[in-house]
Amino acid sequence: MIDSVTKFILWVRQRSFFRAVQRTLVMLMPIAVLGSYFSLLHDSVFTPDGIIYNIFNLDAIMSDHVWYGGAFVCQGMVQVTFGVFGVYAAYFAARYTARLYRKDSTMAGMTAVIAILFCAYANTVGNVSEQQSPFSSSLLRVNGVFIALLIGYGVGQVFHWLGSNYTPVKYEHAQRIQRRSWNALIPISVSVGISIILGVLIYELQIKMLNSGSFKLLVRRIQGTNNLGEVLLLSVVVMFLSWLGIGYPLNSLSTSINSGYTADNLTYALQRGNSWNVPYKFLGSSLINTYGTMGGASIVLAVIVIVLLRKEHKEIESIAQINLLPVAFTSVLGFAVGMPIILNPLFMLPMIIIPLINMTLAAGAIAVHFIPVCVYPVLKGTPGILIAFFGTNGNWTTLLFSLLLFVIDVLILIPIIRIGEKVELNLEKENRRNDLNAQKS
Amino acid sequence: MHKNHNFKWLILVLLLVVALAIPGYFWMKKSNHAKAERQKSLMSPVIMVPGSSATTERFNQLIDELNQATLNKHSVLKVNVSSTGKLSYKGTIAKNDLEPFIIVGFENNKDGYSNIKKQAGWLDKAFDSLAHNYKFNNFKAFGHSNGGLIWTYWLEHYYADYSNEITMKRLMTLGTPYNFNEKNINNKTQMLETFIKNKKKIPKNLIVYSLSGGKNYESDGIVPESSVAAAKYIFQNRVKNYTAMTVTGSKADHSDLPQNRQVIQVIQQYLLKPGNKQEKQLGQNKRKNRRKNINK
Repeated sequence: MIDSVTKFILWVRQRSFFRAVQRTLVMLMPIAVLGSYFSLLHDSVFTPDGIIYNIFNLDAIMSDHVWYGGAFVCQGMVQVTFGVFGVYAAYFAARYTARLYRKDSTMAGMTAVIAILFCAYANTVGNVSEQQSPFSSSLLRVNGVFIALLIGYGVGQVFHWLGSNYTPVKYEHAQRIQRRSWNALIPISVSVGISIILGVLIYELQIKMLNSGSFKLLVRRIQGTNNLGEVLLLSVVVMFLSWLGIGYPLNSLSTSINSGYTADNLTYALQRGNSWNVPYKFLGSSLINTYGTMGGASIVLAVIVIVLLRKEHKEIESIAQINLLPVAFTSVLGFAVGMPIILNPLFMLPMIIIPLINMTLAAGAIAVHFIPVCVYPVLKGTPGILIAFFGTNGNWTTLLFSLLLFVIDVLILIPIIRIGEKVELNLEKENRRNDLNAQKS
Repeated sequence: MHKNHNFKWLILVLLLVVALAIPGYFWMKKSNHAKAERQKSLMSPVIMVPGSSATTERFNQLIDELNQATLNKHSVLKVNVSSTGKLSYKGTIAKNDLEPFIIVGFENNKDGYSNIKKQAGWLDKAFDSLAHNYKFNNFKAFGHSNGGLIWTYWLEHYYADYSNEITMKRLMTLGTPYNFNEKNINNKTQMLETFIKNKKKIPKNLIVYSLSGGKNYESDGIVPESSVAAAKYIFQNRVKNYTAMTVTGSKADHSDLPQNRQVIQVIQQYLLKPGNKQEKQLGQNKRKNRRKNINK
């Protein structure tokens, strides 16, 4: 059984799309880590509803100058990393796709940047509500990285079919570069042509691609339903999308909690002093982030803990080390990109199933009055495992329950990580064989 | 078994989490307790802001007359804000008074847009402290003359900080020159333009009354009627209810307005909590119903 799973994942991993994407994401790890540290700093220190801001009463302690300065630096760094992540992703996706077929990868990367920026431009020009700068387009943000990867891969494929072969050399003089540019003329023209058509379609049809608005329906549905079956079903969609690299729905589910239902729950709890019998017990908005993903702890933090304890793979171990801190405080993107977890066939099923298990167990525990319902607002940057504890106004059983869920999640993920190690081993073997063949020929 | 250095990292982060969780726990308890207190509070103060050149004593006569008209007396708290933002209090809120009057006045009570902006900032200082001390979850706002402008500016620039927990239920402005002294509405002052530009920040469920005085057919003697009427460009089609009224009679001068009989009646009827009068009516209805039942 495990062997056939390993074989299947190995097969998927060797498809050109996944090979290119895997390389791209691993390459983007430093940018993602930078972004996740600054977004953690922003969310917990430089936001009025951040945890450190409130606990240490920075409202009174920190001077306006320092606060505005810090917020400026953090926002700026998040903007140039996560805000325009799509540009980097498209560039490297095209590059590594072209390189798979021994084509001119730098030219492909450059073309992909033109293509995605044009689509971003079309997206913002058509969209009145957003700021009209292509750099503010939701297409470029890290939460929509899937589209950027697709565009990059598409451009890479155009170079595959239309570009001439290219072998990198150590010393490149101007004439040779000139020849490179001319050789790339046809694939560049075709790619730009396709991106123009794509951009016109986006503009003409007013496709509000990927901004939180297009997922509002889904998000509102989850926030508004008290039906556990529906919550579970819809969270499958949300989790699959975030595995793909479309994080908008999950993101808005974990940040905005201002719906009429949550307000009713909170009012009830504030008046009675507890949240055992609130009117809406199984709201998607109070289940997904608190128990399903536990602010990233149930999957990403669990994987990090396993990687750190097993010490099987030196590189991944260091990625885990550097990401441990932001991930513990719910800033998970650095590791989700660096491992990668996004678009990694190994993690597709666990990423969907683990939240389902967690939410089912939590709903059961709520139903039998083992734990109360999470209704109290939780500050930004609260560690994932503590979200439920703080959300129930400090119910100790809930803390134990969260820890139990975390242990269960770790146990589920151990065999998955083992399969992943096997896949890596096989890939390495194959790569070595390929290298030998390349040397012979 | 060789030592795993990663344990060190895991324990370090765990310690950090715990170190944050302990103060976090107490902060959460305190904050949720305050939220619950505010939620349960029945107090709904009327916060009044006088116009330019007027002090916290401006509404004394108005309050006296209001207290004569109603059975339950409203207690009065006066808050003075100095130009450096220091607050000084006068008077007290009676323990069982659910609808106290709070009057906020400013050391610098001069006219002009730049002063109004400053006064809105001082009003916010006072409001922040009041909200913290008395933990009400809703209030009613009243502003005479420039006081209405200060409230409008506060609504558009400061209210968002409180709107999650505190609702402004009603706003009543009295002879408020939304377009300063400009008679022609086509000449919008910079202040009015900014008010209209930011109207989206005004809460949708607010009920607004704008009262003007009709000393003659054009004005209350000081503020042109069209300047008071300019309120509609800010509130109409934005808030739940916007009503404009004109009071006339002997005390319809701009500065007499707070003592005008009709104004006092309007305040009683629309701004204050429906008091004993309605209870009586309710009783009458009950009796009627009983009679009906007997007849059956």
